[in-house]
Amino acid sequence: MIKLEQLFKWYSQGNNRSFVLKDINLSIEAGDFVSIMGPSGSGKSTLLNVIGMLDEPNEGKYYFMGEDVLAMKTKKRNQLFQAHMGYVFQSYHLIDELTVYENIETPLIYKNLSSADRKAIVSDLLDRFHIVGKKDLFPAQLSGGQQQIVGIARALAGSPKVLLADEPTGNLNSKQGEEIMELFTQLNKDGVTIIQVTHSEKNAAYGHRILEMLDGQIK
Amino acid sequence: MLSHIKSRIPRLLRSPISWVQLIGFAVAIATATILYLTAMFELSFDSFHTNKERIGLLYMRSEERGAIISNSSMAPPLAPLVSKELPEVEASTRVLNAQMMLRHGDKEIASELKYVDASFLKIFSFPMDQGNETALDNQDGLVINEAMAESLFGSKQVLGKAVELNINGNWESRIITGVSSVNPRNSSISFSSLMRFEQSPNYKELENDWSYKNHAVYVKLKAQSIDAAGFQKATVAFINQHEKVAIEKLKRDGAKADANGAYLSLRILPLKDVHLSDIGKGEVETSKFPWILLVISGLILFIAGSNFVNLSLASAMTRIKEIGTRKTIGGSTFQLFMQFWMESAFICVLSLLLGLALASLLLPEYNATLNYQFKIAQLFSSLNISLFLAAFLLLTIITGGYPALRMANVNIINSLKGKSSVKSTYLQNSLTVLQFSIAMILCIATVIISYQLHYLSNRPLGFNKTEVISIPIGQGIDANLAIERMRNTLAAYPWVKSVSASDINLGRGRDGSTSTSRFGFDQDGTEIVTNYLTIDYDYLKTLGIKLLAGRDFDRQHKTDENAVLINKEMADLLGGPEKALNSTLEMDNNPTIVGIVDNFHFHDLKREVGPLTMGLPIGGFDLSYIFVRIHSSNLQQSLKQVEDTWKSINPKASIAASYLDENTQNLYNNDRRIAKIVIAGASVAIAISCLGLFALTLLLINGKIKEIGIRKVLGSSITNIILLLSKNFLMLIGLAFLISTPIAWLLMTRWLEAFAFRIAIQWWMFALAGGIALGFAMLTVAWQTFKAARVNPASTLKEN
Repeated sequence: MIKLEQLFKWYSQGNNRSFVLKDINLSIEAGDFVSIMGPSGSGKSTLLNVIGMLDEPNEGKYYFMGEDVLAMKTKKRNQLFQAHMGYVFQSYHLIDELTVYENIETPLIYKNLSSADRKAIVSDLLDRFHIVGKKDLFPAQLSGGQQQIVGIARALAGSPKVLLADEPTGNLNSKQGEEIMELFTQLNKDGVTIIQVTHSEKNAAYGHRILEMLDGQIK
Repeated sequence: MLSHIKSRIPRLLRSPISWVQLIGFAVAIATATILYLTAMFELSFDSFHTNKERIGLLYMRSEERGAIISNSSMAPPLAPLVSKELPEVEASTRVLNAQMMLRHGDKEIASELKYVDASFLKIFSFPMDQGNETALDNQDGLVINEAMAESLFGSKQVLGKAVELNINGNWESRIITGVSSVNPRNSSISFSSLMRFEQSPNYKELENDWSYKNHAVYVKLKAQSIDAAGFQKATVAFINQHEKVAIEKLKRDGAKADANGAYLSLRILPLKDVHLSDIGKGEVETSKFPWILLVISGLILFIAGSNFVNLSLASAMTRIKEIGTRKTIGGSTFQLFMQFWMESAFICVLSLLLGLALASLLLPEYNATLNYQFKIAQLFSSLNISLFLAAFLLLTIITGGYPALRMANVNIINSLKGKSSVKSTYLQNSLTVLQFSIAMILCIATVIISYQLHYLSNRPLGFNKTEVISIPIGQGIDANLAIERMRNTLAAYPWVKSVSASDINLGRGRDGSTSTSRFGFDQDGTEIVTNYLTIDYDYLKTLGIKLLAGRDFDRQHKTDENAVLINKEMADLLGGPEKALNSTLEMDNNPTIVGIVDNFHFHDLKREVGPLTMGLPIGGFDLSYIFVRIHSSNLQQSLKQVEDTWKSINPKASIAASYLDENTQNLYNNDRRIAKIVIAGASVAIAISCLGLFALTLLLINGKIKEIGIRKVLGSSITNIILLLSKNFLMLIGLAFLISTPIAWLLMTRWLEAFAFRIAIQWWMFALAGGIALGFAMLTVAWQTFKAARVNPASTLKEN
């Protein structure tokens, strides 16, 4: 499903190039659950951003569902990724002024879904994650774990094939972290491909596969 | 405290917000300064007279045929009787406008002469270089001003020297008994020479004539100030006694009495209002022009000030952490307040300096366009300095102090966590709405004024103003002779179609004068008041005026010397065109009406076309303006050729010829001046409002960078984000539009009422003005939001 070939990313500092990603070759099949580990600055997040096309590599090939992503026009690429990817962040990134319900609804609005369709999907997600009672609360009124659950619910609203999570449990205590991981496992069983970046060995173990990164390279 | 400012200066100057505050404020100060100078100049008219509180101009008021008529022209016997019989009056002087040729050696110069009474120099305080206020005590006294002395003698020391005057074509010698300084620019009475009223032409015959009214009368009251209503009451008996005949006529013709039951009342206009008042049509009203200027400059300062507050508050949000830190290390609320206030004050002082520099850069251009002579140095009078200082201090305290107080008061813990924001959305929004309301009112005014002026210059006037040159004949040449010679010489040019003349110009020519000649006579038992125009042969042909019935004057008809043409309005007064044609008017010489012409606008469009009678110059008034109709593809060159011809006929001609198109435009110079200032004010107001909007957008975006990132990741398009960020601003501007529309409608309806011929206010004018304001606002917001929307979310969503 995802295939990276000889991928490089660097920043130019004068005449020197400082590499963030160096010769990445990676293949991830549909239904996989991958954990990326490594020390700070090893390029984990950058790799995740490149996979999610929030960031572009300087060199290399990226095939997503068999298509050459870097050769596509921006508009088409955005459409492709918005339809198939969901993002979960360490600090949740919920919109403070919107309620739980509205936060989950936002991506659907951008997909131009009718309000009835949106309502059905959001209600379904609220149900599934047991947060129906919290739908009218604002993010500031929720605990960190609850906020992350809303963040995941939002990421899943567009029914993506791939879920990208950058330290989803980084701001949570261990109990909350476990809950999120259980949730990921369940989602993976339901067929969602998951790629997560994490510092925690324990959480990494939930994945089928662990990638260790050091200095921009996969060991 | 000072060290704090010192260390802050580089940071302040690096922040774009400070620059927006600085430039916005500086532009506002420059504009306000210039408008203030103008307003103060207009308000300062005649204030240099020591007795200004006690001096007033007399005028008569009556109401005839539903029209209120105010008239400041008085009859010669009035002024002496006013001094003699009214105990309220200490002194009075007649002031008659005239022109006089002065000669010394081979130098011959036309001077602006006022025939006045001996008390003139005692009532007013015109500064004298030589001689004193007794200079006119003798009948043959002559005062000239120093500029005239310089031109005639090459020296100002001319007291007691002889100069020749051209009186009725003869040169007579007079001794100069006084030299005055050049009139201050803010004097409503201007002269370059003064003579006794008794020396005016035909004085002996007119001395006791109550029907011949041609001069103004100023009085100095005994009381320390002028009580206009009291004066009017005190003069009732006086007027009833001396103007008995006029009052009887008014009663007979169905005139209306005023609130006190008087058909004709003598009233007084305080000297300070003379310059700004228009006596002639309607009640005497003092122009609000200087106050409009002060209000506009106040509004602009307000916009800039509220901008300043808004931006300070908004940028405070980015400094919450700094405030918290400062408090934890022991800064008291007062110390913090002082710091922030000094930062604001620093920017205010910079703005003031920059603003004054800008004003002095703009002044030469402003002076040239609007014919003023302002200098920035004029600001440094004690009154202006104290006013400015007070206004400036108040502004700094409000604009700097309020946000400083708000910032200094925030809760420490919250601010350290970066949670507390100085919430002032309500205040910010109200200020933004107010700013844009003001800007939009000015915008709507701009649209309506421009459209009205456009309408005035394009409305058919009843005569063909294009390709007609008007030449003021001026003094020093026999008018009839001059016209004959012009006719004969110009006949050689094939492009000259016809030549004519009249005693009153159409529009306002290069001599800057407009006048009206009206008189009344009894026709079949009622008084008919008509405007009178002395015209030459070919007048209708030259000006393209339509003849409705009868015929034009014809050189073949010898009897035309005692015939008149009238306009349609006059014919209607006489009972319709059929009845009027070929009947005689019961005025002097009983002329016959030989033709009726269509109405044409011999006045400006503020007035309806009145009744008009036109006669040949025999026994009437002298002709003063030559009209030449041409047909040419090069108007500039033709004008020059006509002018050259005129110069060869009258080498002393000093006033340039002009096209009638230009003359009719000149009638609205005052309105155009208001228009220019309103347009400038509107532009500045919009510019400053948009500057504020620009900075607010910047701050809004700063606060929402993460949200924009999230939304992009969630699939929002760039358009969606721009819309999201500008939605709030759009609503505010929409609200401002709703507020400004009715206010602008009211104001502009009142302004338009001054014109007899005016446009109807239409919805598209509001839409256009709103559109302009909205357009500029959107341009300001859109570019910023567009940039923000394009940022790569990966960079804004970075953890830590």
